[in-house]
Amino acid sequence: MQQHLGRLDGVSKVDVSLLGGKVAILAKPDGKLDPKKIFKATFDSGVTVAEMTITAAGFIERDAAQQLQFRVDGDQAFPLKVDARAQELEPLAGTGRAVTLRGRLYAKAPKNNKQRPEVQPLEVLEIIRK
Amino acid sequence: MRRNLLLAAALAALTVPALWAKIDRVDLRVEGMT
Repeated sequence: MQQHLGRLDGVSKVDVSLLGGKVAILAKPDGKLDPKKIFKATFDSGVTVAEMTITAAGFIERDAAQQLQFRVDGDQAFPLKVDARAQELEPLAGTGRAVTLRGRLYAKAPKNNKQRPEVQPLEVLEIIRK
Repeated sequence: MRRNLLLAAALAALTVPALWAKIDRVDLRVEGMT
């Protein structure tokens, strides 16, 4: 899996800790790291993702449906899960101000849930800087 | 003059998202890893 992920665009380093099943993927400065590709590549390498989080700098904007999203570059924007932390970021929408945050893009559903695994709306876990 | 140019460059770096907006890291918790 380490080699599989290490070959993806934008990946600088992959640290795997067998204890606890933790994998840290560090980005190159080119901004090409794509969590959706990492998610797919991890499943393709034969392991199940239980949780995926990102740490990123970007800005808050509204999509066509006026929902809040976190944009990290021209191609990548993540809809925000509506909760108290997302509400805290709402005044920054459209200002272009830098926000650094840590958020969860995927959490495995309970066992009896047969939903196909896919990246979910970004749940803001921590606002590191705004 | 030089100071003004440096200030302008610093301000541009802060205000152009392409220069600072990016994903720094992705962390996974996985199951079934051997």
